[in-house]
Amino acid sequence: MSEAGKHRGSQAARTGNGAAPETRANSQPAAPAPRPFLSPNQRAWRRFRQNRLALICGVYLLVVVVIVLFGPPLSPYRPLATSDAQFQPPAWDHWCGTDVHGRDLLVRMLYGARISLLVGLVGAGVSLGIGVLWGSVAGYAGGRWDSLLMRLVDILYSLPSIIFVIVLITTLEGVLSKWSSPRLELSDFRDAAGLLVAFRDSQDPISQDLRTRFSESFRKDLAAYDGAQPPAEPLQRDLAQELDRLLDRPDLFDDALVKRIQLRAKTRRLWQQKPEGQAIVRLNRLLLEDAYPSRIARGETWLTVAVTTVFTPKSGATTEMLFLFVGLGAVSWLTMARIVRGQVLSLRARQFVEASRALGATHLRILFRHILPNVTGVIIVYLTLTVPSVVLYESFLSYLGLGIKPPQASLGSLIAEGAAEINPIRIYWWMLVCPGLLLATTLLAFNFVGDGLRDVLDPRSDK
Amino acid sequence: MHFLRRLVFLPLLLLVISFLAFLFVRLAPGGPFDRDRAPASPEIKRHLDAKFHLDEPLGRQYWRYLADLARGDFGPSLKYRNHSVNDIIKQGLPVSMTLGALAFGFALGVGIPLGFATAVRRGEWPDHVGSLLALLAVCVPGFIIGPLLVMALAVQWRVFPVALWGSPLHAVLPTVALGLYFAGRIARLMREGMSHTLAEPFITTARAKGLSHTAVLLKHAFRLAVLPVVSYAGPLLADLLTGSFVVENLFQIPGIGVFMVNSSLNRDYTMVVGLVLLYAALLLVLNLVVDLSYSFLDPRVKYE
Repeated sequence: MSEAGKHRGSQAARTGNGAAPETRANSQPAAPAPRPFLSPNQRAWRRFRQNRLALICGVYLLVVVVIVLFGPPLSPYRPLATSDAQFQPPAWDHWCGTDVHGRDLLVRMLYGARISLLVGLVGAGVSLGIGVLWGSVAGYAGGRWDSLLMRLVDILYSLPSIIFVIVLITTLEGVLSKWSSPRLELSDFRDAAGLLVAFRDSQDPISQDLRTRFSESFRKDLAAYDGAQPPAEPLQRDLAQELDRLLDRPDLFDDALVKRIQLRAKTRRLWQQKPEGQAIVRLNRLLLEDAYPSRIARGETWLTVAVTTVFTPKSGATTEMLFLFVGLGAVSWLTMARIVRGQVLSLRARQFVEASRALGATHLRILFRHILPNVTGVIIVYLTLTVPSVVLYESFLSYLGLGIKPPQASLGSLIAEGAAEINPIRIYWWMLVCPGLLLATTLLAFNFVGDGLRDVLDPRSDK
Repeated sequence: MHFLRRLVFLPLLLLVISFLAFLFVRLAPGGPFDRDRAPASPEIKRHLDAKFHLDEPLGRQYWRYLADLARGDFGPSLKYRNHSVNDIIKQGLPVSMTLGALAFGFALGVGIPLGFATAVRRGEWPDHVGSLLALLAVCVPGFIIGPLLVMALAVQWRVFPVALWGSPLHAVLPTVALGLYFAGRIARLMREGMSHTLAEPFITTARAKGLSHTAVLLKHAFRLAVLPVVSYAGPLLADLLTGSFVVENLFQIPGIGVFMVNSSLNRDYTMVVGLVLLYAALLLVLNLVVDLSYSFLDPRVKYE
């Protein structure tokens, strides 16, 4: 009992009282207190308030967030609007000067900070999710599972993180562009032989029409095709290329031809919309699929449609950010997993866990109701320190040109632009100093708040 | 015994890592023979694939790679086709290692005294100033401080050369740009370790025995207080020795760090796997060294 009493209040009371209803847990302090009982969170907040520096930094962060969210509309400038006023130093017109295209740097910085902060927060969130789950399972399960899970962490640790992130991000980009592209690939032919024979011999108007549109050389190859099963790969690739070329043509199908095809509902809808631009390719692909339903596979599934509609809006910035979230989360969860695992490992052996096990609590309940709440402090502290490191990593990636692509900007890519403008002939210092200052002060504030929280929440830290 | 077993397991671990890296780099779309924006034409790709055995099944390719590796051959670079990976590493690594070692020395030389001093004068003004400096260093990444240093000291006042690698003078700015962040990290770790140690009962005992202030701090406290720094220094050294993209790029230094980034962007498969192995081997060995030094520094640490 005295052992359990050392733990955070509600936890100690609950395990101490055993079968007592949970509503009473908070109302019974573990030890007689001379002053009114405060919950652990209230006590922590009291102590945090006394750390004036951390408090100031917290307020600064809030101010930055508010300005970044609501400031840009107040500016007379738009982030992408170019002007003739190139490389203006900071002045009343442009508080932070202008860049190579005469764009106002302040507005671009605010938009950039939006992206940097968002990536930092969500990336830290991703690392929190994976890290806590991984670490707590490893620590709680122990034994063979523990060593298996943690060996994997060790191995990931010993890969250079930059290579890991680059490959991960480009892989995700590749998968998405493959999914969202209406282009034909060899794997889309369900019956390449049948398709080739149809284009060679069939007298139906669609095949005849397509045949006339094929290139001279391909028609020759087609005529020479002997119906071999399966057709030679170069021939298939040529067919895919020919059809791909045709997909771009707005006049590929006309009303008379479409009438002969049995259309799916979504094809009909799209046909009636008379789309333009990129959508024509998709429409032609759908029509082609409907014209040869047993020979060309349906490229679109509900999954690809869902993924592409959610993640490929007009700007494209969201897609890149999604990859950044995943990529950065994927490298930064390792430390979190190690920390959580260590904590869980030591808590698992404590008496209050034994007590609740004796009372018949399930593993899930023990882990999530009894162990993890005791790790929260450490997790929160580490999380506030993860955010700046993710922001830093994101700006590093954008500096490499991997993260946010122009004309979108993040603080990192703005700094990279500024760094590129330093040469012995003229120094455009504001392009480096302004975004650098915003980044550095934000990181500084996050670190101070994290330090303040650690003093309050981390049981290992003294005072 | 513990260390012997880990030493035996080390090549095994490297084998697993090489296998994972080998598969992992092939996940990314495109290939090493693609041009800037267009994929390589099918004929060229077929020929090059055949030349570098990329058309074989993956298992056989990996086996071939291992066989080469056993002879100390990392294979040919797929992007820089006149060079082998060994060549590139042999050219770039010494430069990166020199710069990395300098930056490591700078980080330790600045970080440890700073952390030590701030912890000893805890709560007084030297602590506040020193801690703020350390935190500032942590919050101003190399890609900000590097260009700033160039702007002020190289372009404006012309104290140091702007870029390139050669004389000791050339090394000053890159060393500071690379090492400053880590100096801040180390100062923070050192301060924390020192504060924890100074609160321990054995320090009180040492003082009670009448040891001088300096002897307590240097002989008794420092040994334990430096432990967090030691465990951080292992991976850090591995990181620094294998080069930094930002600093090498900024100062036009012909090191290996640039290849870390470019090889994975270029899908230069052999190069990536070679660099991963290099880094992993360094890291694993250094971690072993860290754990060894742990048992020297802290008599309470026992490995089984």
